[in-house]
Amino acid sequence: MLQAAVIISCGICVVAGLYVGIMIFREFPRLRNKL
Amino acid sequence: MHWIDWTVVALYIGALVLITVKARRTRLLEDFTVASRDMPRAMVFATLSATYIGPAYTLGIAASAAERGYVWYLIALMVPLQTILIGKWVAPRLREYSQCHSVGHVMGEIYGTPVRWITGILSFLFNSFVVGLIARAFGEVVSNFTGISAETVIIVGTLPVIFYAAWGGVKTVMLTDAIQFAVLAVAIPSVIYFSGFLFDMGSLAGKVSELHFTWHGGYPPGELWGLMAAFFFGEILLPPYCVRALAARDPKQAGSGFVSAGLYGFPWMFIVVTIGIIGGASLPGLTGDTIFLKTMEMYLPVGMLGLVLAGIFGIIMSSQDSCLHSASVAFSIDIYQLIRPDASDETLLRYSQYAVGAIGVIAIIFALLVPGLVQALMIVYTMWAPTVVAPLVIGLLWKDVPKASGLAGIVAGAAAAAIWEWGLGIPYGVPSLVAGLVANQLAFWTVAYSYRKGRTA
Repeated sequence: MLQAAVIISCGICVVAGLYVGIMIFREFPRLRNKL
Repeated sequence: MHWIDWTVVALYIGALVLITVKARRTRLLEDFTVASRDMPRAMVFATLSATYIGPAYTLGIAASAAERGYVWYLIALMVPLQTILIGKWVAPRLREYSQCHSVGHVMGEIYGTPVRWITGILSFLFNSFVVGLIARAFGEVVSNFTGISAETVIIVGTLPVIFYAAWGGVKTVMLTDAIQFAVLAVAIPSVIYFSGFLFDMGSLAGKVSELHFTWHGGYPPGELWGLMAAFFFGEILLPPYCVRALAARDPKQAGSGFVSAGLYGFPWMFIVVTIGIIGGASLPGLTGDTIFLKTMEMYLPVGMLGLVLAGIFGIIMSSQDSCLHSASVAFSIDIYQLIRPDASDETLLRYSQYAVGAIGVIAIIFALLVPGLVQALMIVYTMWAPTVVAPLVIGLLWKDVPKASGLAGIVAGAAAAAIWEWGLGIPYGVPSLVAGLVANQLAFWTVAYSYRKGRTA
């Protein structure tokens, strides 16, 4: 169970990081003006 | 450390500064203070996560976990848990104050000008000291790890933060926070992967004591409850978190941004605690905040170490920039504007930017000159929860709250916390934060009850 928890936690963390990274990359021109 | 790792760290800091310059310089007060109140949910999530995941919730938690094990997951979980609760019930209400620029401003709307003054001054002191505290802690930890002098680390680490916080206000703070979040979220879990324990947690169990896998970690129940309460209440609605709610596009997005950031804390804290336990097993005898960095150094290959160190820099800078920004806004909006009510938005913006520079430089000087100040700063750090938090939450939920009860709660909470900490020497090990919060609520409800009774009589 501990094993599964560690793998799932790492997976969620990396996916969230990639999601935000891609969002910034795609939205930067808009964010730059809107922010 | 290899030169490739240093290059990765230098590229990362350079990229942050470049992106800041590319984002336009702030020209409006509302841009500077609350990013024109147009932050989408994903940005609120990323920036709030990066802000509350500070050095304490990485290096500090890992060090404690190395010593006591997974009980620190239970303790650390109090932070994401309160973030979810705040997101569900309080953050949307906070966002409804669409004319306000700061938490002091909101408190002023609810409880009147004296409370705005007190909250503004507390917020200013709290945030300014935290900037210095983070700079000092950062300098010591990185110096211990790399061999570079703490002074150099403090200056090199804090100057870019001052620059981008003054340049673009909260908009660049949030943008850089989101970038820092992306880097730290991808980089930090790699420590577990490269340690070899990701698919072999069973072998870890044989290397640390069984106590590491219990829910109490050997703590007496009273101490464990005290720690959980301190973590739950200690960081509720700190000024930088309130700014994220005020900057959201609408109340719904403020709430869901907070809830997502809270949910993210569940896997994050688990990873940090696991890295701490891996560090404890791999480096027996080593204690303190460097355990996280030494574990990284032990397992990560060249290049990856630089990326993870950049992630650590991000963790520190994203908390520091948010506090620096909140201190400057508290100064201009809650202190200067009350002295000069006729000050124009341009003047307030200019003063906010000057304040970022001045507070940043003073924080560096303090961090360089007064290492023994850390303990004193920690006491200031414990003053937020016993004073402002409960009246703020109640005031947001109860529209007809009596104005005098806010002031009574703040004064009683501050006095009780100070007496508990300094006068009585923390009896029974109960944190001064808890004692202050109880006194705050007794005074708050006594005054509220007398007011209601007086009105109905």
